[in-house]
Amino acid sequence: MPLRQDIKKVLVIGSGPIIIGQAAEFDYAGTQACRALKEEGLEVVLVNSNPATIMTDKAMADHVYIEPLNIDVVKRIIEIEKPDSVLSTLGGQTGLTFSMQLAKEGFLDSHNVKLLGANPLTIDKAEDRQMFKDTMEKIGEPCIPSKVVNTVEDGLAFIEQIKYPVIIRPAFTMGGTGGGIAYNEEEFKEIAGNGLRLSPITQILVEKCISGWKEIEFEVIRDSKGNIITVCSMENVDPVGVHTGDSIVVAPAVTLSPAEFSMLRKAALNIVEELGVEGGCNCQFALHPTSMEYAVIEVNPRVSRSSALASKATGYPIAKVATKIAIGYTLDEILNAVTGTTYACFEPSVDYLVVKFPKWPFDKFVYAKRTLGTQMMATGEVMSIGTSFESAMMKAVRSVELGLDSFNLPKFADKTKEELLELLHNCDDERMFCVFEALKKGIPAEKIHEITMIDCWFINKLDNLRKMEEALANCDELTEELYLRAKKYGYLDSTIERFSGKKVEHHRKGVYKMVDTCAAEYKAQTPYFYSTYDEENEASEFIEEHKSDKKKILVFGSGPIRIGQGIEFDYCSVHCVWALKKLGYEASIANNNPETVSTDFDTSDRLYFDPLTPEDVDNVLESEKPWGVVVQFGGQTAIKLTKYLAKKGVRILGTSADSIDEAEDRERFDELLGRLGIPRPKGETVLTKEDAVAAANRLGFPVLLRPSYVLGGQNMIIAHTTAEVEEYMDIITSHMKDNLVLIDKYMMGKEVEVDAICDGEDYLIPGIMEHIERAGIHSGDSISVYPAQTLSQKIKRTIIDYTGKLARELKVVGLVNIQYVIYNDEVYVIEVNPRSSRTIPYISKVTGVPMVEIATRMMFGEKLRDQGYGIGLYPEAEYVAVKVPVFSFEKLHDVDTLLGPEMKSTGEVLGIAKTFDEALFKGLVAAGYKMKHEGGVLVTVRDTDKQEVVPIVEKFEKLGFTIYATAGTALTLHQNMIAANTIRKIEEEEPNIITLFDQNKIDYIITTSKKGRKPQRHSVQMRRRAVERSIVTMTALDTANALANSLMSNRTVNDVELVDITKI
Amino acid sequence: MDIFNNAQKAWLLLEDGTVYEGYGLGSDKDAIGELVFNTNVVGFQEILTDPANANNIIVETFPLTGNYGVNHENDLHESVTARGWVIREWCAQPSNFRMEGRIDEYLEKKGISAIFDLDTRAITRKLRDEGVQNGLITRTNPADNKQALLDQLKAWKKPMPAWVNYNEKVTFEKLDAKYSITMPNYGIRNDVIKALMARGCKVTVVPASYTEKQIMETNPDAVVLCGGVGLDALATSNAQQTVAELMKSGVPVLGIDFGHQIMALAMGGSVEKMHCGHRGSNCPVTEQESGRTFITAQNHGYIVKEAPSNAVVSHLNSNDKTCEGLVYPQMKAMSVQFIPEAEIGQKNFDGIYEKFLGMIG
Repeated sequence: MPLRQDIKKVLVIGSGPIIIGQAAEFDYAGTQACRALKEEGLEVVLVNSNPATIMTDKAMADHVYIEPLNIDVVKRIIEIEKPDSVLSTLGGQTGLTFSMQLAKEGFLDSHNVKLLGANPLTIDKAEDRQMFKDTMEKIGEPCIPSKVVNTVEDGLAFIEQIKYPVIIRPAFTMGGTGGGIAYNEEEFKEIAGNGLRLSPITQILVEKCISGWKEIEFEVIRDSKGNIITVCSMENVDPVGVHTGDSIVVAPAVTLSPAEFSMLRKAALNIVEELGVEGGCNCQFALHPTSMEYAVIEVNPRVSRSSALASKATGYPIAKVATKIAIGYTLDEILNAVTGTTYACFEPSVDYLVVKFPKWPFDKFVYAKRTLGTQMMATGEVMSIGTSFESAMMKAVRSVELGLDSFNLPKFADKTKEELLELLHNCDDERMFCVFEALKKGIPAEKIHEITMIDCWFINKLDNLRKMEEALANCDELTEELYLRAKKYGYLDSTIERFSGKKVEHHRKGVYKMVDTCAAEYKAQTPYFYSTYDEENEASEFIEEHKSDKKKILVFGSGPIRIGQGIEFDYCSVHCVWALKKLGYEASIANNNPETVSTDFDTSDRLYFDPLTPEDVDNVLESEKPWGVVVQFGGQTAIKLTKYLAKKGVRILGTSADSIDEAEDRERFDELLGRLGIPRPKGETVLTKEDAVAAANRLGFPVLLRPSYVLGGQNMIIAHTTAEVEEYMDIITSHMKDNLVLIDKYMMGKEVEVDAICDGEDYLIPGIMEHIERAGIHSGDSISVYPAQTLSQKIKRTIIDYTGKLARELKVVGLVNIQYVIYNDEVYVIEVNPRSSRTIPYISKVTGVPMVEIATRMMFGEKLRDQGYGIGLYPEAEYVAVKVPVFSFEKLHDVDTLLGPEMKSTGEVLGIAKTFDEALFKGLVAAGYKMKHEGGVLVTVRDTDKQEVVPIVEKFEKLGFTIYATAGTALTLHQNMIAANTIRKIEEEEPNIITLFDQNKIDYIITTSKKGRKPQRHSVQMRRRAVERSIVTMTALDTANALANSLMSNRTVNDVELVDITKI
Repeated sequence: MDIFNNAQKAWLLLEDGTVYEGYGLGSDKDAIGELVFNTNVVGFQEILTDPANANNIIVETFPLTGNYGVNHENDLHESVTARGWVIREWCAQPSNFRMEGRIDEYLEKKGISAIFDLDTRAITRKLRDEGVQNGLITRTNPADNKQALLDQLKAWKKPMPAWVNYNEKVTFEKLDAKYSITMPNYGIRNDVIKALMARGCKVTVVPASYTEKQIMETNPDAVVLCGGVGLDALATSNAQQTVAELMKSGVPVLGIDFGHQIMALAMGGSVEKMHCGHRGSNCPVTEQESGRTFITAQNHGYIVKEAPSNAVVSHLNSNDKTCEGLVYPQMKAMSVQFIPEAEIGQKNFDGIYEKFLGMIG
């Protein structure tokens, strides 16, 4: 059936801010969906609170609402825009949940809105535990057997059927308290007895324990005709027990023989058929490693992280096809855009192996519990493509930016065999490195399998890498044969040289193969490539066949999403490519992140899906022979390449390598500031602990410590005492040897941020942003307001003046981001980043200045004056935009929620309104603040904050909140005529703070403490307990004040004006 | 690096003179065959033992082979194998609870000559662009007498496989069989026999040389034609005439793969050699009556070009629109180019066996 005639205007609900578990993959899916709809000439209305996405770009939809994802807001948008349909399955769980709620309430029917992509019954069958179980039972698909029991005896009777081991989950206990795994009757009696006691309703769930089984996924697509295909199979290297988002995953599945493969494939088709899905669906199975027994773990009847991976792994655009199906097309009518000659109704065949490797935030959260389990913790991922598992793994370990080029992790190097046997039991982010070291120490693969349950296939393949490294280490001569074999296994020249101690005499270049959905069966048109060490270079052939006289430009992407380098850099990279195409260039992208729009096969003219190390980049340069390259949009990942590229003589477009160095090199930067007469907080550079302590004492506490070349405030702290400086230096020197540490005098002033575009002479400042929180809290974690609300004309003039001077002196061509602190009415520069920044997408959207496009034009010598946006400060927009950070603390154990100079947020939302108050309100609501107007506020602040907190608490008191405070804070409040109930601290006897938490008496917490980070500290424990109970915790007085003000305005979401940003 | 330990050099020579150098695996004898590529990710053992591949050298497009080892149950035929195997990498430490051995041992036992460490994608692209051609796998450097070898390759014609003249009648009994099926031995895949037995059929395999009369003497409820003889070898047999007589006799006839082609020829249709064949498990086929598209497994190098005048096209390849299925309305006969789904009770599949057995009435 072709396009349904009753569809003209479609509402697409996005997935909101990036949080762990719901990330950039939905920008990719949503963007594909919007484009697929527009391709059909449909009018698209979009709502998504996330301003950093491509999806919320004005070009993506006809009407774009960057508004809180709230059921009332969505209803109002439907009333305003009157779409005839809503697309439910492309915006993650968030989009799906809203769509279902609207449908079930009857709102869609009463407003004549059709639900596209899924019907409520399908969703219920997949998501409601009982209905899912019943549905699976009906079609004979096994689920994980489980039973609710109230006695140990009943439990034992059930175990007769399902056999040990079993998982015991007590009902209604916090965080799974009292649960466990029992391997025999004795253990079961103990755990179950205990669990029954702890459960307030004396009830436990006894479930067959399948951890250690193979975890296999299938991506399935079905259309309204009932045509059904599997796009891709995937196998988790980490068996059941580790969330698939935290697992290393290979595609296609490799350890299944046709018997198991076809059994699970058919099960997937059966399930999707029974659910009646029309669109994409993900099916997860657990497969017993030594029998044909399997169980359905989970079914997601929507696009997902796995579908994004499957799309990138095969070239098959699942989101696009799912969208076309939603609007009426069937698979046999949709052309396969990759081949251009075949149809979407086929199963892709691959002739390579794909590895997905997660990116975890533990390098940043040093105290976080690293154990992997059923709660996903990775913020992002990389994908690599190779002709062997070995090469794909080697590419992955380079791409994930851990500073590693092999599976040798220094911390395991001196571990003994016995220690490693013990360590193998830790299922954490470093397990694969531990396995590798275990192999090196002679622990047999079977033994490792026994402990980890990782299939021997993967372990033996890793062992091939170990053997290769051994062969290199023992070789008398680095023969061409050995060298080539090492290259085919994915080793870099530098790694080969390090292991062998021999010089590589004849460097071998990589060549490129195409990802074409069909294993070369048909001639494909997709310029999507990965490197191998073969003879033919399909990228070169492609370039030859598509010869044009356009100049070729290569854009470097930003790699995996991590805290501090998020989706906004993908936004910039994609916009740069679009601008380049518009300007008549051929634009290619090199990147390795499967979740993003930049790695969609039709974003650039050519896509190189590979790591971004110098040698990997060399291969791209050799093959692509670009006229110039762009590094300033790909975050630190791309910027890091600058020096290398410059040394090679590659033309770097925009700001020069020397200027980038001048901004990043402490001494050179100080010199530059001196020349310009611009002040900055005093600081020094040190290498050792002793020097650091001395410097801190010279500068005077508090001081800010950070390694040079930082990203997202990685490992950045404010130290108030010598002891804190020492603790910090110990951590830093253990992680990164020879890394200089910068110590700055810490000035607690107002923080201001500016993004500017410069053509080398003139500059344009689209907007000045002001942070609600004072300096000391990372700009990514601060609430940021555009345009600045409280700056005097004099300060603004100074900022404009400094920005101009800095941009000009650094000869910036393109974008520059400058952070200032205003302290005692003086403007100080904190840092200058001659590259794109986190704020570019939202400032571009709010001001209407296409910043990336203009910056790209500057790189080719165009002048700012000719762009039509003027120079200097761009006129302030009619609207105020407030960016509010969003955190994923509930997903990360033991991470302190206290904000500081180290960035902790994973995403952001935006509130746009005519007034600051309304914009702030929208921002807070969008960020998930419930905006409760009654209840209790707990205040516990450090001595230096006690006076300042008084007027803030007074506001909460006036609003009618009951105030609770710990002894010291309460004393100050009482002295200031504020009635506060004194409450004991967490470390004191009950009833204490936790008692209040348990009684649901606390709605907001205002907490500041001098010390943080270490999970043992009581203040940290208190904040963790608050996170577990979803209590809003504010760790900066400024945030608390802003919230109090917003509450006092007494708004609800029904009062706010909803803004279509395409109209501003 | 296990797989390279003591590995001997080997070469793959193509009819057009291209030489690829790799390492030998399995039998060290020279092997000549028609070089075809297969896009399956799993099922290498089935491909190697599909009678339809008896005269072929298979190029595997998926680079990792032998991951799950070998198991005798996976064989599609006990004795027939492909002539050669061209792969990128094989797995020296396979992992699967059902495996009985490694692929290298298996190849040796079966006498299949293989070559590994080749850029199989490059070879596939060549075959895709230039069409299938003959190839030679050898452990002797072909540079030494290349011209002679090329002459040999060009002159090579697919021989008639031995089983065609195999004179034995074999019956696969089935308790309480509902139907009795007779299959002339054009090279029969085990999975087709298993699929029929699973549906309550007793299967009798008779020599390919059997006439219509001899076949009917086995008292079949229906005749199923499937196999790997290949049309190159057909010229010397009486198969076409036998099939025509069978179809006209009123006995229900099902043609699978080669059986589909021979039925079309028997009824006056024509067949044609394809550029590079359909070989994989991801081939979409549209059933004309319902408009439904199914993903099928295929392994063939010829197609029915013109359907016989008494046939109706029941299935088309969704990509290249070639004929994938025919029904003969005046007869109890139908045929498909693909391998029908063997498993019972799968509503997402073609249902060919069910339809056919329904014809018996």
